[in-house]
Amino acid sequence: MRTFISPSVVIFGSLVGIVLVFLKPDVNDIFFIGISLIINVVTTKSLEPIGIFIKLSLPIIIPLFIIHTIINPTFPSTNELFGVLPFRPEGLAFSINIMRQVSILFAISTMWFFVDRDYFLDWLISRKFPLFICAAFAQAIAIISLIERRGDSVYKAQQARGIQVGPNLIKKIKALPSVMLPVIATVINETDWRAIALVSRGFTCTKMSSPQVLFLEKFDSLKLTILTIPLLLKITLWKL
Amino acid sequence: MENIEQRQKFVKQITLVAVCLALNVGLGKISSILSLPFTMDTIGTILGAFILPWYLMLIVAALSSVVASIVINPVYIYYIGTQIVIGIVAFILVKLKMFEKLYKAIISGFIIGIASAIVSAPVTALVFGGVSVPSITALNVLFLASGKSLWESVIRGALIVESIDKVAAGAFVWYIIRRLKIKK
Repeated sequence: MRTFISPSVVIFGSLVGIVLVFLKPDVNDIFFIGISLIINVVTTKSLEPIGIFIKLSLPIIIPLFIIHTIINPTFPSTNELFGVLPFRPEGLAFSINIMRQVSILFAISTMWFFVDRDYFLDWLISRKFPLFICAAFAQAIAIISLIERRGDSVYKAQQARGIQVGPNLIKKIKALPSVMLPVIATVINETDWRAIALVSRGFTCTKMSSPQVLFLEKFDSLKLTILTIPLLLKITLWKL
Repeated sequence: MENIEQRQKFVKQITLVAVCLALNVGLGKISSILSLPFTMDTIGTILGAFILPWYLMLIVAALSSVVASIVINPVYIYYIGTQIVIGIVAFILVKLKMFEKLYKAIISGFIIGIASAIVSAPVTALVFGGVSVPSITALNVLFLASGKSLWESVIRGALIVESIDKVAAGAFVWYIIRRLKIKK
């Protein structure tokens, strides 16, 4: 049983979320955030999506609240928090509106966390998305972990050779070329080998058969319908 | 024979796109490991302007935000326009041979920084209410507390941080090009 979300559902959910961000705020925004998280939890059968959503949102939401409700003097201060801090109701209203749109965007982002990368590439190729972009994307993901590993080993090797790579900022900046340059040089020099490996495996030489990935899978239609409800409700209430 | 050579050239260009993409994200991660004050997340795009045709360089710029949003943090996707503008400006500067000398590379970095700040400030102000990476957020708060409007604070904060960051990136790209003997 799959525990990742179908790309069709996530793309559709993203579009609905983006439309909601641009419309007038109301309770349907919270409804959308709740629905998208529930779909995530039900599909993955874990509470991890809620944890990710909180982890993504808090570093933005807490500073937003502090900046506009307490610090920002462009909003008038009418009360005091704990008798010490200024409290700005207009700033609070402004920060709540931004929190609303940030939360919608992070609810969408949380859904993207649970899309299987390989499955998504197959899905894109079967939808006739340009193959070379998919190939570049997949290779980039692989090379990033290579850069990280090499960066770490070069950093340790330079330290072992006696090159001072810290602790103060000037030493770190001075050591930067000796750490970064070997990593960049190796990655660029490997380009030829990577290209030869791709050609030898038949990339672009023969007509590739695209993987057969369904546009909508079991329960996807139901998920799409549920995700549309907040948008439909919002439009209906707006018309009324 | 010519067909095979063309195919190999095309595949090599795709691999270079992947390398530039990976450099944008990977070097950003290394600089955060080293706790450096600059992000290094545009070196791949600027290098791409040197070694790739313009359309592939634009793909590098656009996909960088997509990959960074998958690998690091989803907020990067909202700055996709910034990466594209950085790519376009870097391409023009490369055409004008602005990375041949160190001082020219520093000026180029400054120009890229200003362009980047102008494009990223509306996203920071409208989408995130002035909250961005910690260094820019701290400056934004400082300007806000001094009575400046949100827009003014965000633009000032972004201009200061981005110009320093991109000057460092420009100088580093000049160093890479010189050491690795990369030619346009």
